[in-house]
Amino acid sequence: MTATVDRVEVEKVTSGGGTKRRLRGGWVVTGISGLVLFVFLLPLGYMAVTSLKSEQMISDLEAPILPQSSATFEYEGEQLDIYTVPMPDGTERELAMLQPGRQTSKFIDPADPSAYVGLRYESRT
Amino acid sequence: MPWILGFFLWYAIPMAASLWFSFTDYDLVSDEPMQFVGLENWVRLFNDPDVHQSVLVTLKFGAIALPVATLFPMAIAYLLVAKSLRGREGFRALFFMPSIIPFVAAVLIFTGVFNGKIGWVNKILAVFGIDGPQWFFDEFWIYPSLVFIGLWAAGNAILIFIAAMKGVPSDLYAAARIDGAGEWGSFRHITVPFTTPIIFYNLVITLIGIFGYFLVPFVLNNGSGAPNGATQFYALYFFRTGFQFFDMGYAATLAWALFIVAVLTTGALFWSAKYWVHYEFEG
Repeated sequence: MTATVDRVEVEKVTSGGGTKRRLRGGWVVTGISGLVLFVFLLPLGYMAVTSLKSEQMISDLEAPILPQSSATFEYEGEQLDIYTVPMPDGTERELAMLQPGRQTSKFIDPADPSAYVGLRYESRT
Repeated sequence: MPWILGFFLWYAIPMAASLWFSFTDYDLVSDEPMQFVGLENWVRLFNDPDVHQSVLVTLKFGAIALPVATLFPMAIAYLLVAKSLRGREGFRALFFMPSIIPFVAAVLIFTGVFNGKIGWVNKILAVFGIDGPQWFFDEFWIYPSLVFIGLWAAGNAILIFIAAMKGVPSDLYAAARIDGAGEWGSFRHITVPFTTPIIFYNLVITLIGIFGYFLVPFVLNNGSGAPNGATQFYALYFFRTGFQFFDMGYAATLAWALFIVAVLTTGALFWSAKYWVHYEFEG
């Protein structure tokens, strides 16, 4: 009985340090819970993000995790999609697709639209 | 009276009929009349390599699923009743949230998350330089993946554990602290004994769920058993026998064998309960 009373008194004396420890412990518990919750709800986040992606973006292996609208370029009042196009010399250029085609497509350079009008690029298919 | 009528119409008579079918060669598409074949289906059951394979698959999955399905909600509930947790109500709601999502939708979401190429899990692992496996196409990793999917239904179990843990008299924790018990000691000697009825309930429910595990592997790969038969669960084999091969006599045998094993296992669990399940108001 005496021993029990002693322990209670010891706890009272050190209550200042105890409060700090409790605060720290609170953040540790909250942090662990948050981390577990993050992993647990990861698929829910995937579902929400995927619902905002285009079909093309969902199937693109290199697509970023977050949904983004594809870059466009306005040419003569028309919004053209911009693609990364491999050039014959091995380099890659950001070009706007003017006229998509099955065998060949026409691209223009958004930086200098007049210079590249009529450029034909043969697609891989 | 309506209950008795419903019981006979929807339970007792169909069960008796399926027991009878298990001794026949009943085939859904055959023009031949059904014939009594004695114990032929039961002998076939014990010698069927597909049964052995599906039992092994179910046991492998159960060996991971049973402890995880018990310990995970218990651990989460313990975190969620901690007085020091900030935003406790919000955490509870968020942990419960996935369990309201229909399971078929959840499986389809997980096929994206665990996709070897575009899935988030492998993208996150790649950040740490880890080359993630093809989760649903790997004979080893398929089981942890299926267990993770199952955890999304843990919301109810978490709630029941929270209710049980909140029912533990706080005086006991105070007394234990005065006697020098730490967090682990309090959990082991107070929380666990007080929640054994819930652990027991959870074990029974999970065990029955494992025996009849069907929906997830069926939605995942249309019941093909891929990869390499690793998802050819017993309930799936029963379904294919009865509703794809239309061999209803043998399917009834498979169903009755499952029923007998489930009753025996659950019975054993109930028998063991008197040794480790403690009820609060017992004398």
